[in-house]
Amino acid sequence: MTSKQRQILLGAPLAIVPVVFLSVAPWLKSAVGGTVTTWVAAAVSAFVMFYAWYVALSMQRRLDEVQRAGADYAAKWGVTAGQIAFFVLLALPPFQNLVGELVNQPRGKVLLGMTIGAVGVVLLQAIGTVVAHLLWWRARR
Amino acid sequence: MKNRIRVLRAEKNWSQAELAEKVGVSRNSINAIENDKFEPSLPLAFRIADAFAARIEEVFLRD
Repeated sequence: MTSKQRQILLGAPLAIVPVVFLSVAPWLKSAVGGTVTTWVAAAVSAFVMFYAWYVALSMQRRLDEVQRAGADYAAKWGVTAGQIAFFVLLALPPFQNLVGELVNQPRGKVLLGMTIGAVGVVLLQAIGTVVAHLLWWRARR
Repeated sequence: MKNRIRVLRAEKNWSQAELAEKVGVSRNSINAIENDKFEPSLPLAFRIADAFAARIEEVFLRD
């Protein structure tokens, strides 16, 4: 197996798991109810988050310094672009309706919940960045 | 920072891939360094110089 094939295989669950969940979510909701579906959605999100972290770490270990600089650039701007895209998505009524239907809650409630969640993530990332920066300098004094 | 990697490679008749293998980085990385798109760290610059059996200042030059 080539390293490219190994990378594709390693990254495949990041695409497969959310796609499978999104395609079975309507059926799941009708079969077991909105609450269970919400918990499954949370579990899928947690899995994707931690698995992406694991994949990124294991791939980064094999990179040389030029590739690492490229990955750092991509992560920095990719995260920013992803955050902006998410807030844009939040403003779109079709997305709000889709999520509202998925969790069986009014649109306003869903929008408020997701906005608080997204702002919370961005805020904690900002705090995490400051702490990591301080730790980095402390280790170099 | 400029470099003479292309000239030194030509003298040794090495491809970018061959130099990359000797230095332990990818071919794309050698290409980026050779074309002044990326400035290598000091350890990597020394490894590149060592691969050519040259002094670091013979490979990398000030602007």
